[in-house]
Amino acid sequence: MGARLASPHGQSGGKAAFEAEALSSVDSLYRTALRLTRVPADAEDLVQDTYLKAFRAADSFEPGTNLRAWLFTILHNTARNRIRDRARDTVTVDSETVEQAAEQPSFSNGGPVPTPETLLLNEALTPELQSAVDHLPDAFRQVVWLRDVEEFSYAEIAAMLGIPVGTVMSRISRGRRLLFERLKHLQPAHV
Amino acid sequence: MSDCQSIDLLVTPFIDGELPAQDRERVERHLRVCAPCHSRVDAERTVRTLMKGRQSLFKGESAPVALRVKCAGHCGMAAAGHALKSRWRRVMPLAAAAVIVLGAGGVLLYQATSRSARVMAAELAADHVTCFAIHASRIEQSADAVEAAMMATFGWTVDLPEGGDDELELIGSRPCLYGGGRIAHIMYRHRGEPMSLFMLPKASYDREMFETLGHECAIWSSGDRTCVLVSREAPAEVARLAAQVQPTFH
Repeated sequence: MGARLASPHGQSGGKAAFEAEALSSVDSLYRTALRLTRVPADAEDLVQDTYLKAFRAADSFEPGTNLRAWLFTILHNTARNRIRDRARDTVTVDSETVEQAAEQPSFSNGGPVPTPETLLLNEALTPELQSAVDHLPDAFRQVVWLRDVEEFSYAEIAAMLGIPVGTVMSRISRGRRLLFERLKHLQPAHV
Repeated sequence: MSDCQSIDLLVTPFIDGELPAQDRERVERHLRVCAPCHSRVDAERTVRTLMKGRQSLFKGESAPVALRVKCAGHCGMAAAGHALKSRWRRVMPLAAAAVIVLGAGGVLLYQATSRSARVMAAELAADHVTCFAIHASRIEQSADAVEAAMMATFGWTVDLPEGGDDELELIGSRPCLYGGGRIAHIMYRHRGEPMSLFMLPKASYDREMFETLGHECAIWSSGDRTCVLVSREAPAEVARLAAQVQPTFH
């Protein structure tokens, strides 16, 4: 998915290509930063910091690896450090409780489950989906976002968030199930 | 561990198509005989399909132009070290100054036809003065950084070649405030004097040159783009520079 680049070192053309390629991720970094901070001004700060660090640390980028994933890793590390600096704990807040809640098997009672098609045909879902995603606890929103919107691999997400791949998968699973719980009441009845 | 519990760990990679064939068959076998697991998989798959189907909705949010410019301004950090100083003040040629390829994407919002050349030139001259007063001392972009900024801000591939006129020094680039940030503004000094090259994504002006707000403005079109050169230098010198700067558009 991400572009595989030549080394940022050496000739200036390589460096320019590296910088141009890095800057082409500004939209997706900003969107993701907005999900992390929820405040546009903070998201902009975070993205700026990310580029500042990325360009300074260009030498540590491993040519041939995914530049976009590398930038996202810097973004998440920067966000975590800020949260630590401010002595806040928004990332893992109440995740245990939510993980337990997500285990409630209300969706596995053998009842009818709407097909993806019936969900997708329902245009009214769009604002509901956005709202449901925004209301997911941070730990689940991050992984579902990185997987289903930004389309990173489990391993890339694990590296970004500093958590094991198994945890990435279980959080994606629980995040999606939570979304389903929030959205299923919107289904046309008896489909 | 029950069958359902062991299957549960595989459900997400199963849905994402990330399971090896052997595990995939195991999940499929189990789903055929276990309604609760089957419905759980359906629920998760439904949400995944929904999220992917709405990707364009989520991806509709773009970074503000000001943020793009600030990020592009961080370019050049990769060149830290002894070469830094010489890179910043790289002397740029005007001959064949810019080869511009307009990239795909809907950036052609600027309606050049709605303004007269003199109104436009006056506004660009004002922008030229403002940008030099506020930003020139703070912008120190390399040619690479300008190229990256053009790509990030306008979606343009701009090639600023090396070598040439020693009297021309590149300062940097900005998205011009005039025209809703859709005009590229490249700032130079020619023999130490401020000089601006503006590039507009539309060709609606005749070639002409006139004085406005104490500046000489040369306007010309090339391909379907318009270039405007703004400087306080003498008309003959501005005409010479304008002839020299002719960008090639593809």
